[in-house]
Amino acid sequence: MTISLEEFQNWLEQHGARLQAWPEDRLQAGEALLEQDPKAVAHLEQAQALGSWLDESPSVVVSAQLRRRVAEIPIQQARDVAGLSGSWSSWLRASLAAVFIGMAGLMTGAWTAPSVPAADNTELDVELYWDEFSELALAGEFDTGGER
Amino acid sequence: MSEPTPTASASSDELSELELVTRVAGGDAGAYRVLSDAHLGPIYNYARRILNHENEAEDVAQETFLRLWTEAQRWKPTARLSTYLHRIAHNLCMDRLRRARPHSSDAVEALADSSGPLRLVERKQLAESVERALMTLPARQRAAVTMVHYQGLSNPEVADVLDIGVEAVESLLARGRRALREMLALRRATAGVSE
Repeated sequence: MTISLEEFQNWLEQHGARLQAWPEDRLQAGEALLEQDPKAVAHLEQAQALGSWLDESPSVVVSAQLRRRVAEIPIQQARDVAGLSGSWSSWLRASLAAVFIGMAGLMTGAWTAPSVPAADNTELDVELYWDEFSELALAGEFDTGGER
Repeated sequence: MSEPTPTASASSDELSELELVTRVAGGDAGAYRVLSDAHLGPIYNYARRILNHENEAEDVAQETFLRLWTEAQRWKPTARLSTYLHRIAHNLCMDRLRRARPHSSDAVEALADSSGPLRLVERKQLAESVERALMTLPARQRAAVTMVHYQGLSNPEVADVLDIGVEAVESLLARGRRALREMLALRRATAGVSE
C-alpha cells in the first residue's frame, strides 16, 4: 500500500507516534514512506515531541487516605447494611407491638363490655318539653285557659 | 451480615480477572482488595487528569470502586476490567463536568528529582503547562488523548469506554493531538522569543 504524506500525518494523529501500536497494514505503509520521504520523518519527530511533552505530566501517587477509603468499602458497606437492617427490624418490631396491643384492646373491649340497651330518650324529651312549656306559661306567653 | 474479611487465597497471579470479579460479586473482600490495588492508581490518575481537581478525582475513584464492589456482576468479560472501570470513572467525571463548577486547578504534586531545586521548578512548570494545555481541550478529546497516552488503552477500548465508534475516537484523537501540537509549537516559539 502506498500512502501520501497527508495520510501519514493523519495516521500519526489517529494512532500516535508509537508506530508499533498502529494497525498492521498502516504500519507497513507508514514505514515504507518513512524510508522514502524525509518530510515523513519530520512529522514523526513532531509527533514524538508531543508525546514527550505529554510525558512531562507524570502520574500522581494515590494518597494513603484514598487507599484506605477504597480498601474499606466492603467493611463500610457491610456496616451500612447491618445498620439499615437493624433499624428496619426495630421499626418492624415496634409496629407489630402496636398492632398487637390495638387488637388486644379491641378484643378485650368486645368481650368485657356490659350489654347496654339502646337508649330511649322519649321520656326525657317529653319532660324537657313540658318544663320549657311551663316556664313560658308562667311568664304569660301562652293562654292556658286559667287552669294550672 | 458480618464484616467481610480478606481471604488469603485471592491473588492476581493465581486468579484470572474473571475469577476475581466473580468472587467480588460473591462478596469476597480479598478478591476486591486485589483488584482495587491493581486499578486504583490508573483510575484515580484518569479522573485527576480529566477533572484537574484532587478531591473530586478522589471522590470519583472511590465511587468507581464502590460500584465495583456492589455491581461487579454487571461486568461482562468481553472487555477488560480496566476498560469497564474507566467507563464508570469517565461517566462520573462527565457528570461532574456537566455540573460545571469553577475551580482553580490544583498544584501539581511535587516531583521526585535528584537534580536540584531549579530543575524541580522547571519540571513542575512543564507539567503544569501540559495540564493547562490538556484542560483547554474539549472534554471528550481530553478523555480520548488521556486514555490512549496515559492509560494505555487502545482506540477500540476508548471507543468502548466512550460508547462511540472507533472512527469517532480516531477523529477525537486527531483533533486533540493537532490542537496540542499547535500549543506545543506556540510554547516553543514563545520560549524562543523570551530567551
